[in-house]
Amino acid sequence: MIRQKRIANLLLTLLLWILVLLIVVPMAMIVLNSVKSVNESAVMSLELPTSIHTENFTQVLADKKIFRSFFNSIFLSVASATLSMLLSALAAFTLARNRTKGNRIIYIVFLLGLVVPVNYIMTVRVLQTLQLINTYLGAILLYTAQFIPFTVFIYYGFILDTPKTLDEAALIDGCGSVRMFFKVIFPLLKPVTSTAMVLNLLNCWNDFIVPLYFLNSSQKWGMVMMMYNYFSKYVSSWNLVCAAMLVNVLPIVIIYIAGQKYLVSGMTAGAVKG
Amino acid sequence: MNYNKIYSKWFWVPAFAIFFILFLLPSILGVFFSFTNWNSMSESLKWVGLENYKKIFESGSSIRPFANTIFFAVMTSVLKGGFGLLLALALNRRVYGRNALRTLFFLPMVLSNVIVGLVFQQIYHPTTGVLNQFLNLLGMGSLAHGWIIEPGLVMWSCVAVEVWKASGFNMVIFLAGLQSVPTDLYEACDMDGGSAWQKFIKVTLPFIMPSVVINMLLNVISGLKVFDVIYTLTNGGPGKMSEVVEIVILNEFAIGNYGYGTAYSTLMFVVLIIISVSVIKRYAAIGGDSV
Repeated sequence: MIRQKRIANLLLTLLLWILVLLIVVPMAMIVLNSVKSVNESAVMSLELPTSIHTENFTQVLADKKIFRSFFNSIFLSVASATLSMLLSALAAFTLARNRTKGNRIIYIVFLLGLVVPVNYIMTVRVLQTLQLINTYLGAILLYTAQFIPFTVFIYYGFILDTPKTLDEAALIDGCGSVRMFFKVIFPLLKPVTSTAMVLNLLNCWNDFIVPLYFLNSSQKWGMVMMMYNYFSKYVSSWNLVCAAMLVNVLPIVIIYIAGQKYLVSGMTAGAVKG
Repeated sequence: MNYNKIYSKWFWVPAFAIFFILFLLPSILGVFFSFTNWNSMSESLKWVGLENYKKIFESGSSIRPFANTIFFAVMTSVLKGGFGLLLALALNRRVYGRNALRTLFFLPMVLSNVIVGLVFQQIYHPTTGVLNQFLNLLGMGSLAHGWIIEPGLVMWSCVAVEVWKASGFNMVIFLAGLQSVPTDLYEACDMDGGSAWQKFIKVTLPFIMPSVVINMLLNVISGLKVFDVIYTLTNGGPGKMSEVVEIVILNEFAIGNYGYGTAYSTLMFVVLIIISVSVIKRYAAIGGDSV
């Protein structure tokens, strides 16, 4: 019986490692082709490169536009992830602590944002009216608006589980409510804060739609959009396209590996809590 | 203590203001603008009633994007859920390299859709693509196809990419759900001589029902909103065979038919609200936490 089970597990292991090839092979293609010569990478194949061309990377990074878009991505991601994290934590805190009827309605309106699609055409018009179209600030506020619902949602669930007596103790010790939040409560929310940051950084880094609709000038594009553009320009130079992709993917894979615990726990916390 | 003073509304107002003005308000305004002739040509805005909606429902060309979007949402939901569940069941056992496998199966989820779309465009290439070359290598050259240029196949190929990308997400949620199954119930089932299938149906499934519901809801929502995977993979082609609603909206936006495009957005808005509210209501009725 136990022997049978071990053999079954062994076979299952084997099967899973074969299956995982399906996931790995497309990614390996990017890596392989990023170090090939132009001719070798013309058809994006799985053949090993005959010689390693690391100059593909220097060529990509020397491209001023790519270089700039890389930092645009960092700037946009960090700014919108931080802003949405701070605002959502504050909002979730009051809404979870003081659950009046009005506050519950506000919370449900926040949750609507998890479901409804963004009306991009109309949003363009609203941004035009606010004179925020084609600006960094406009893009950051847009990302923030899109991240707030989920971020409020995960903070809310977590804050419900932190004891309210902490607030009272802090207030009795003479804290104002702002100081009470930042000195006592916010440090306790660290796991959710990590989740929110990782998730929103990733989402912003990978976003393609905001630059497509709202940023006309390529000066302000993040890297994904710039890469798409790069692709149409160097369509036959797959080695360069792949090198650019790797430069783009590397930071998020690092964030993913380092923050995996928070990423996965955040996603499932949302799911389990319903 | 005065709660309204301690937990001041100024804590939630900033988040709400940004969210409302840049997310919800456009959707609400969109409802009104979808009844107008708003476009880039004419200066004046005219109320046209249901004209835009009539155009959507009467023109034969808008059936395909809707059909494609629904096909995509349904097929990806079922397949992502199915593969996700199988992976979760397998990875819930003591297989070797379990954590590495979990990490790898989830990995595509963090990649940009643009990269995924562009790479699969190459993989699907009829002559030089890895997929057809692999089939030829196995001596199954007859199965080789023009995966994204044959009209009958293109939507399936799009579905396959999404399944490749997001099955890992379903897996992770199922894995979390599986932790809630008490192991002694399996032992009890063993005692009674239950088969593996019976164990799954009678023990596992009832406990992971919340995960099933949430996965399906999230899959359907994201499926109906699909845009960048298909946009970068096929750009709606060949012809308009793989156009989905969000691609139509972008195209209408690009040619300046704002009111008409907004009518599409408004339809999606209504459909998604109806689906979500009904699922959440039923889910709450089964006994899950209501939101």
